[in-house]
Amino acid sequence: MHNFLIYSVLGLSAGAIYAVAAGGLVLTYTTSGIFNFAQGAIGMLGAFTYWQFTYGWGWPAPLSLVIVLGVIAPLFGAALESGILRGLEQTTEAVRVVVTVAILSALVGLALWIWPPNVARPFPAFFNGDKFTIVGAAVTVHQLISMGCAVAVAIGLAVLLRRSRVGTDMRAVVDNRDLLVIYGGSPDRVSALSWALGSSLATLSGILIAPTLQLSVLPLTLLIVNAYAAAIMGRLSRLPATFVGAIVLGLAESYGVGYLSNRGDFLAGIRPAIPVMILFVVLLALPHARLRGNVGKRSRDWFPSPPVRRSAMYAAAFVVLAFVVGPHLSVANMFTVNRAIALGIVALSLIPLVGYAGQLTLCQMSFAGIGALTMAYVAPGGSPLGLVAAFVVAAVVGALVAIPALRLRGIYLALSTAAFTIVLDRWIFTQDALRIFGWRIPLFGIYSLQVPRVQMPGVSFGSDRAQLVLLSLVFSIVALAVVTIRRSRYGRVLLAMRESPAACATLGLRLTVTKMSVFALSAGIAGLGGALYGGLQTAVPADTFSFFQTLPVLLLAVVGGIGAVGGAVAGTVLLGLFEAISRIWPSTSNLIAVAPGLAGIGLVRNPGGIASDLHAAVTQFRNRRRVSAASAGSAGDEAFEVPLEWIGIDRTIRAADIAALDVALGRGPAS
Amino acid sequence: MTSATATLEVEGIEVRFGGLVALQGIDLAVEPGEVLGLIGPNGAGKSTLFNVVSGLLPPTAGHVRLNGTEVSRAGPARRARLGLGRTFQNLETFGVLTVRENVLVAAEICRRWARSQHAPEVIADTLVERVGLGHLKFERADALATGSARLLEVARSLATNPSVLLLDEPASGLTDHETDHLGALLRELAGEGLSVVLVDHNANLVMSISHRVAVLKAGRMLTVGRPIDVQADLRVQEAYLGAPVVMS
Repeated sequence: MHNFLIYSVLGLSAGAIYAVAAGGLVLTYTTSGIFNFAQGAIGMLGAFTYWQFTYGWGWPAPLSLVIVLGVIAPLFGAALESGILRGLEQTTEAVRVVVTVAILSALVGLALWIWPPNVARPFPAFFNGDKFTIVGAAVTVHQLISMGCAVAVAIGLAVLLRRSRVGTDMRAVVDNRDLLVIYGGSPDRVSALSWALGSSLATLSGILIAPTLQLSVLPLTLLIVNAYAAAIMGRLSRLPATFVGAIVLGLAESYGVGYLSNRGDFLAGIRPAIPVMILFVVLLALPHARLRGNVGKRSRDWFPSPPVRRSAMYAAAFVVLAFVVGPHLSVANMFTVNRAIALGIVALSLIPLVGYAGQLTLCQMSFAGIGALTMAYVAPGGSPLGLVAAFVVAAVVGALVAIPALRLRGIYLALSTAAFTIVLDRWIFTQDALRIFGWRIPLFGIYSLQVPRVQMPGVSFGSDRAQLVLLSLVFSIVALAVVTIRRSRYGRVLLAMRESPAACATLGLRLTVTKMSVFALSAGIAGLGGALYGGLQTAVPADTFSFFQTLPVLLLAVVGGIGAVGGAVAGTVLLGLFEAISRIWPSTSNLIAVAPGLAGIGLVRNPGGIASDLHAAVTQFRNRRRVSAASAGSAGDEAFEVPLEWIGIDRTIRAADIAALDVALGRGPAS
Repeated sequence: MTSATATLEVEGIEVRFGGLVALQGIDLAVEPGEVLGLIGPNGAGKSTLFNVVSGLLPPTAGHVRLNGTEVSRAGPARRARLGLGRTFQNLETFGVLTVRENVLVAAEICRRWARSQHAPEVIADTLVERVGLGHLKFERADALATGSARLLEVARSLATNPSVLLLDEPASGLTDHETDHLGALLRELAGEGLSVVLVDHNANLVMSISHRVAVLKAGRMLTVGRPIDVQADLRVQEAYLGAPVVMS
């Protein structure tokens, strides 16, 4: 009973902190329609800033609190909103998610840059952890303050949103910005204000939780998962349910730790997984989303359908290049190139799923990890059958992960995949082994796992140079397969489902089967990539396949252009370049760590990605050359170059239009 | 209200959104080869009824039968496989695919069960020509004008070889010439045995090609009858704020 009281107090105070963070999340979501994946990262950055003022520079704690919570955090939130997020109104939900994930990634890189993790930074609780006793249970002043903050935030937000003019404006701005202007509101000011508040709440939660979690970047950033779970219980819109959810979560976590952590079995390490599993269950319990059609926007996305023969030529050229260049690379450069190509295979796996089918995922490196584990278990001698098994096992797991995805869309889907990957990398992958029905399948453990390199009778891919040839070969084959899919019946179905699930269903398409199949395919490719990536590294630690490793791959693939194989290639080149730069000039390594995030933020300006820009530039160049060749000698043509928009034509004129025009003018078919 | 031959039967359909009654006591039966016009002022519940029939919106009460099979609890894909096709008032074309690919993908989806003897490519090419979009075959669907996109939706829904076709305002955005062409096409399809339920604000089109016209008002069925009787019905004229329906 005594223990129960202690666990309850711990749980309530943790729940209170989650409530503060979740309150900020719901506030920004309901007022901007953007789900802030970076909320935890903002809280982390805030806690570090507070530490810097109070312990780094020795300012009095109350003064630092006022400066951090009242000035820096709100300014930061408002700056994020007006500088980055305001450009997201006309984009798809996938781009919004990717951009906030990019902010998360950039902030993590930034924090590790400013506060290198190799220095201890003690972060004592408020009032040095002074405590007193209530009904036999010790309660610290810090815990009381946490609970008080939660109550104050709950009341404050309720009054703000329901009773104040600015709160009404906040709720209005998400529905229709223009209408709010007509009614005399100022949407820009209102959005900036809500993000300022959200940022302050994130920072407050970060400062409150830091003494428990210690001041370190990744755990504080992932704290947000707990807030996600609470916010999802309130369906991202209802504050009371969110607060109840946060308390339930805090208690569940506390009891879980209290009663399970001294067991000897695998449940002992369950703590970090508890909120994630609750999140997963809540996501599954959500009512089935109504089938929705397209949003009526003209998408700027780009899904080229290149001829297979030309793609095959590029692919062959790539393998030959790898073969020829290989001997001239230094060991370090060779490893960089190999690593980029292996991760490039994982990036290719995103194209059918995220690009063609429009299903967002944040767990691709988990599938890669499953592939590596399978390879190590099935083919310790390096048999190529291990690669096949890696594909199959990852595909099966992918199909299972897809089950919640069948019911979920957009951010909910992204969240459930994030939940899956965090359960794996924080709880499962770090175990020594998985025991099922007497089988012992070794996992990465706390050190690392040996993953073999492929060996074939007569051919060994043991050397780095052979790895380069193997990786480029597999990359080319997978890339060709993805190009072929785009041109196939299956590719058309995926694109159609992405454009309008409702229309597909009324045409008789079983969305369930289609979604499961594309998840399985994508996971299988990622598993194959993971098996090769594992073999490349040989001794593989668990964090090779963590949530934070998925982010750069996803971000760079989307930045490259997720609708095209060329996009994954561009993303792969960026990955390799970034790594090479940070190796050659070590002083840039911190900047390079932030780079994928910054590149992802750049999507606000160009959701189509680099590949589509390059393609447009090449096409324009070719056309210009053709035109100038044709009109050479006939001066004066320039005068007729009136932009088509001026005369009310908003698309390219095709031959068909000219033919129609000729018919309309009675000229007969164009000659 | 049961008919031995009806392709589509709707019985006692009721839809409530919280306290709002969107549809109540809706009964309808459509025979093979029949064009049934469905008209009513904005907000009468026409699109809601289409969503219920096609399985996108579960009704609060009532039954839907397709070719004699009870489908009230079936999802949209199963209903499509039982012969239901539809278009959408808010365009649902596959924007990043070309016009031909839009129809092709529909023909490919249904290839397994529609038992058509033609290849999907042939079906796609034929239908694109038939609705009059041949000259736009290789345009991306999101580059089409509204009228052409509506015709594309008609072609796409025909690709699954349906026995019942629900058309939600197919003529809005069409020129007079295109509307005439569409009307002729629908009559032709009905002649081949297709049941068509047509919602449109173009009274000329509805009245000229429908065998019967049903009138919805505020979620209830006001009347069902021959076009000439419906036009003469004072309640119908009143439903449109006293403006008599224009005769062709």
